[in-house]
Amino acid sequence: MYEEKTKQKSLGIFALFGLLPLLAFVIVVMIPFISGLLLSLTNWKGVLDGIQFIGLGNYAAAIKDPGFWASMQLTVVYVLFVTILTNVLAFLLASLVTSGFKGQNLCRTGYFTPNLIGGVILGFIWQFIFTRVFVFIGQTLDIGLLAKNWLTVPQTALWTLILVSVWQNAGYMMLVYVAGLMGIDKSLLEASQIDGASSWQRLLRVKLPLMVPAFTITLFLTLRRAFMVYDVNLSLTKGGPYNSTQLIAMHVYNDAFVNQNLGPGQAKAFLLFAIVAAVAMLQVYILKNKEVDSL
Amino acid sequence: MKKFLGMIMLIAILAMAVVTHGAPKKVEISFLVTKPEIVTQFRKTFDAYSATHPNVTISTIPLSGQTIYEKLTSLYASGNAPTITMVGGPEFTAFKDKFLDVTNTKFGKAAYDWSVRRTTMNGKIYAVPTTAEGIGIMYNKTVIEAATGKKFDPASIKSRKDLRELLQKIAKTKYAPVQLSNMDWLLGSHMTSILYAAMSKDYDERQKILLQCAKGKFDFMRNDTFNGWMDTFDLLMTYNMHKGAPLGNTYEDDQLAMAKDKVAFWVIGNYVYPNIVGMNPDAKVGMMPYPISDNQADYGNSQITLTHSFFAIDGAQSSKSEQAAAIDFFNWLLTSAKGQKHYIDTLIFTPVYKGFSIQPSNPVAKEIVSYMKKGKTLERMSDYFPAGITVKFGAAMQRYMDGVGTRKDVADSFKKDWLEMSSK
Repeated sequence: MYEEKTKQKSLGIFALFGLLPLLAFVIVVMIPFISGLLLSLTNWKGVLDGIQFIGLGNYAAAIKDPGFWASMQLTVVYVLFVTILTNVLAFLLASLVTSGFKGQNLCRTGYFTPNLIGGVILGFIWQFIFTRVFVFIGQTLDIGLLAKNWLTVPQTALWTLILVSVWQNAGYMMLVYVAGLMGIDKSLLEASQIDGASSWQRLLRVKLPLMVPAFTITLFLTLRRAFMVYDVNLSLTKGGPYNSTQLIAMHVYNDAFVNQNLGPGQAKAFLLFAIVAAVAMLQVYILKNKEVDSL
Repeated sequence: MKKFLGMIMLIAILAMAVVTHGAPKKVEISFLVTKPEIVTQFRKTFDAYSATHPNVTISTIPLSGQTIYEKLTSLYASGNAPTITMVGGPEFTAFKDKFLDVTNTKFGKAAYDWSVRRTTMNGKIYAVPTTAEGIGIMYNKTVIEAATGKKFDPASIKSRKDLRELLQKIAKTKYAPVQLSNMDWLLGSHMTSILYAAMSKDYDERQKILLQCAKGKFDFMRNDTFNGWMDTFDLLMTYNMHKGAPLGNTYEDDQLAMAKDKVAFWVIGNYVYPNIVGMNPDAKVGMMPYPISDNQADYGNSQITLTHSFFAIDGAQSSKSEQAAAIDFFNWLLTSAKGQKHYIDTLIFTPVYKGFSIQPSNPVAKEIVSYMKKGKTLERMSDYFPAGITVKFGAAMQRYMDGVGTRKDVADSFKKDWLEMSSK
């Protein structure tokens, strides 16, 4: 395919196509990543003078902080529910909008729209709904569950976050599932039908195994998004009431910039990175092994 | 040819030298405005200054949603420190080594001594106050007079006893006696400031108390001021119009209720006054102290908490001419007649400086000035708190309001928070 005779020539071709993206990657990803890692090993206070190398002291401080683990625990609960609910809902929506009813394209657009709204604005919209609309409905119709502002009760405040995140992400994951469902060979479905498989059997034995690649992608995306969520957390609950909904990203940010602990904050950010990377890689590894071929 | 080029170069250099020598050098300085509400007012003030000082232009750096600490950290780290910064107490502590000594400037000398105590190190002043703000209880004269049928004089509330009697009276009418806001900055920073300031009249004594707190050795439950401060909070909670859902009301709700003459009292600062008159130009509101005991002679019952942020000039990364321009700007703003007019009318500030030829005309600012003149002010103690602790105090108070914590829980978490945040 490629005809470059000399090494120099192929290097030239690489430079033409690959150098610029590589350079951009190094400048905006690699350098900040490495300098961040280096700063987490110092007593950096925001200015470079007087900076000292202190080894793993920041990591020790981060691990010893009970607030970090409390936030982590809360985040795990949040991630669990968001991942499961988002994917169940997205799969149901995808099945619905590929079933062939009239106006399904309009529905696809509609379900996808929440994903186009930025998290901060989304948070404010839902804040209005939880604070005003729900409370109004609850008080007028005398529904006890809705009468109190959900954002002001610790238990329900976490659920508002889960609810809004699911609502935001389901449309996007639906698109991936739609692509997965459309990609299934029709002849396989017909063959199973002739063999007498019920629609439930067809879903479990044919559709789901063939859609594992789609699950790999959606689970990875939902996991990553849920672990890193900050914008919705900030605009919807701001970590309140009384710090009961401070998810891990917000905890890291607050520790670094509100409590002015840049070193431990940076160390926590790397711990978070390590945890998320481990979870995501494990998930991709497991699902990759489950992928089957239709042939 | 070479000779010809050389000649041209020489002429060009000479010409440049003449030009730069003849006209005054242009200086551009930057100003980090940390109050996003008044960026436009600051721009207007800068334009007025530049009109008479054409060689100086002042550009504004907005906070754009970041915290002051975060913004300053990135600006200093990148070598782009703003020439002038507005900081609060905690940021001052973090960046004090970078600020310029302004002890011997005209405006530095005009600041009241007590107002620069926080920013004085080794007898040198490193930042000057911005504007005086009062924290206490806001009263709505219209509501109180309509409810009691009598003229209301805020000076008649001399202790918690007086306040309780008035609240009882108002509660029997259609008006709401009190509203309590639930923002953590109000509960954890502004209100706790009242607590620590009322603990002692003496500056050194108060510092000693803070030191004890930091070591986790202060016993809140056995402290009269803490108990008095909580008793008043209990009283306000009893008559709180949002008693049913104390964390449900928003800051905007509260502003509206006060502006629309629906509630008589509200623990807040006068910084909210522009919003109130913006919603209702006829609003008759004012500020009075937050009482901490039934005995009117006790310290804190007749004092209002006075607070201000600071103006500081960068001394580390700005050039000499930039620093000189910044000093000249403050001399103009704080000591010249024209600058003072902009300080009062454009920025709507309340001066913390001697020798102001004009005084603010809005009634709340006048009240603050009169408290200041009588020396009946409490120090803003949260300026000395370790970073991030006010959020924790706020959370403890929110828990208490929500009924999930007792007074002992508040005392315990204050103690724990002090120890935790001071050790970092």
